[in-house]
Amino acid sequence: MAKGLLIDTVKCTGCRGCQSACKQWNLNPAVETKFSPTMTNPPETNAYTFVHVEFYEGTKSNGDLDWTFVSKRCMHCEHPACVSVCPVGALQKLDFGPVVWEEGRCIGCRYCQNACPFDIPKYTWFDENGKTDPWPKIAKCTLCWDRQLNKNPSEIPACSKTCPPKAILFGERNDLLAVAKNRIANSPDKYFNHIYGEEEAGGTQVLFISGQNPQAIGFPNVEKESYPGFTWEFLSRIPYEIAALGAFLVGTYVWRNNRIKKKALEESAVSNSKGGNH
Amino acid sequence: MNNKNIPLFSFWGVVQILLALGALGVLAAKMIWGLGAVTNLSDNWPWGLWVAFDVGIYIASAAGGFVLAALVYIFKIETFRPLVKPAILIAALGYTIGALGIAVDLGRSPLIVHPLWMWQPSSIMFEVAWCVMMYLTVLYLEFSPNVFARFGLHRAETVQHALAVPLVTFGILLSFLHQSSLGALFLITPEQQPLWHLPLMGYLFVISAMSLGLSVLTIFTIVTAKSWKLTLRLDVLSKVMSIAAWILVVYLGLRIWDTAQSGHFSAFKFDTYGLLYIAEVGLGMIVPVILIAMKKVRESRAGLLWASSLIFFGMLLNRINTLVLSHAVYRQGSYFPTVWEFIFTLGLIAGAIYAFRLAAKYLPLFADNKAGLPEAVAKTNPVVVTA
Repeated sequence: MAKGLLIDTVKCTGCRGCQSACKQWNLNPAVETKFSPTMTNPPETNAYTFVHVEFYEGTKSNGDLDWTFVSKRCMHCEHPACVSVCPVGALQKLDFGPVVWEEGRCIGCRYCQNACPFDIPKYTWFDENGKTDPWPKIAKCTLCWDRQLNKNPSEIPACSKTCPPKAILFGERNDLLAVAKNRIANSPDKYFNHIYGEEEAGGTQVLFISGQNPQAIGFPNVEKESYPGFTWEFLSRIPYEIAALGAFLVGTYVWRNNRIKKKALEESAVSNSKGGNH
Repeated sequence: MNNKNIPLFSFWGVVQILLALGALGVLAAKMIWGLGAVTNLSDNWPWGLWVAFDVGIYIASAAGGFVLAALVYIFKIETFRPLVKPAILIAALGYTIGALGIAVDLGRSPLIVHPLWMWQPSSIMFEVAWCVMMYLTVLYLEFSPNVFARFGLHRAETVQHALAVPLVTFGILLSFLHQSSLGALFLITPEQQPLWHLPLMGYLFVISAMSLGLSVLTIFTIVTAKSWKLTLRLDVLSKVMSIAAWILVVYLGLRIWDTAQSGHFSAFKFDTYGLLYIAEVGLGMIVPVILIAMKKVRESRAGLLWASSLIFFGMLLNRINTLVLSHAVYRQGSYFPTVWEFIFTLGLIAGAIYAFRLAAKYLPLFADNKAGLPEAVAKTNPVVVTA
């Protein structure tokens, strides 16, 4: 079974440890950034920041400031739109969960950026020094596939490993779902009753639980169906449509040809009979 | 062969050369410094003006080629024979600049050949890539007799002639496939403004492209006849635009039915999108259909030019809305093209028009059109109008 992450924003303290650990493991350079109107920095994920913590301000019942911290990254959909749209198969879904990008294949069409409902694949329009990049890459969270596969002994993703309050759990998706359901059932006063990622886009490897409505903490309201189905429905009809159109064209051609020949024959017959009268 | 009516360095000819050179400059800059240097694209706006034109306008404008080929070679309607050669040339040029534009718009342009051996058949883009490459080949083969005739290669002409009908049939199938797939590219973005996200958008794209292709052919024919003082077969063009109007009626019917049954009309408000919708559907589609329905308009040069230009405007807006603007609802930030993006876009069009001029001058493009006839000859044949 494929593995994933369960991110519990109720436990998150907003330390940004996951953000730093991710940068370190992926050797992502520092880039100049700025704060969002709240304390989110950088304002959104970019080609050099695969994981970033968003800060949402609310108010407690006593009027105090109430923060919600959301550690965002690729959702690693079970049926990823980006993988299905990539014309050269540069994006792939590995059987143990991660959605990864292969540099040697990518042609840079950016259809994955359009198709992703979570707005995740980023592009190196500029390098870390702010210079334009003539050979850009798609950059995104890899669910630390290289720590899971290439490290011996294999290690859990860097963000999960570093998280001090254990707000980012790594494990089998089924186990994580059970944990999430348990936590919501045990403290209904603390948690909003929704596991974001359980059904979104047909289910994702990364799951979120929170005290807030997902839309209030910046999660898009995406379709429940798996996204590749939207285009596959169209593509799977094509062979029949082409066969029908081909038959129509050939049929029309043959019919018109016969008619024109018949007409020509009739005309020549008429002129022949006229000739016989002379 | 040299059509003396056609000047190589007229005012507009020079403008076209300069714009095409500008596009070459932008192409070089993109290759050296990358997309970030010449475009205003960003992670929030990965696709912009170039895609809207390459994918939406150039390739759709080329649809006149397969429609005319179908009318003459499959349906055997000889009336339209005089327009086949220019239509196929416009199609070949449209696809050429479309493919060139897509290549430059890729982040890693030289790798555009990857889909040839890196197959991913669940991707609509993969299918489009293959169809466009194959259809480009088909178009050059369909156009080749003009070149063979110019250089007296009669054997090649005979071979091509024997293959013409299979080629045309294959070309029509390919056109249907990828023109519809270009619309279906966006089935996967349901967050788009609903007025431009329809379940049948794939089919709507191919139908509207046919109408657009015929309009572009009409605009080209009228404008070139006027500026190069060629004779004009207005009677044929009236029929062409009647067909374009009927296709547009089918398109509008299907689109309105699709919008209604998917409940997307509820997204209509009198905001920017509402105005864009009214401009696109009302001014660019309904008004030209009404114009063409009027006999007086249909049979006058100015009337036809107006109607076809309005259809062009409507489809231009439709492609820009579908491919770029309607995605704004779920995106942050804004996008406005750089001056380089505009120069490249205009330069590709200008280059294609100049190539058309060269072909018209040196190839037997208008041989069936009685082009360049003296006025006296034209007068004895009432269907030929002098420019």
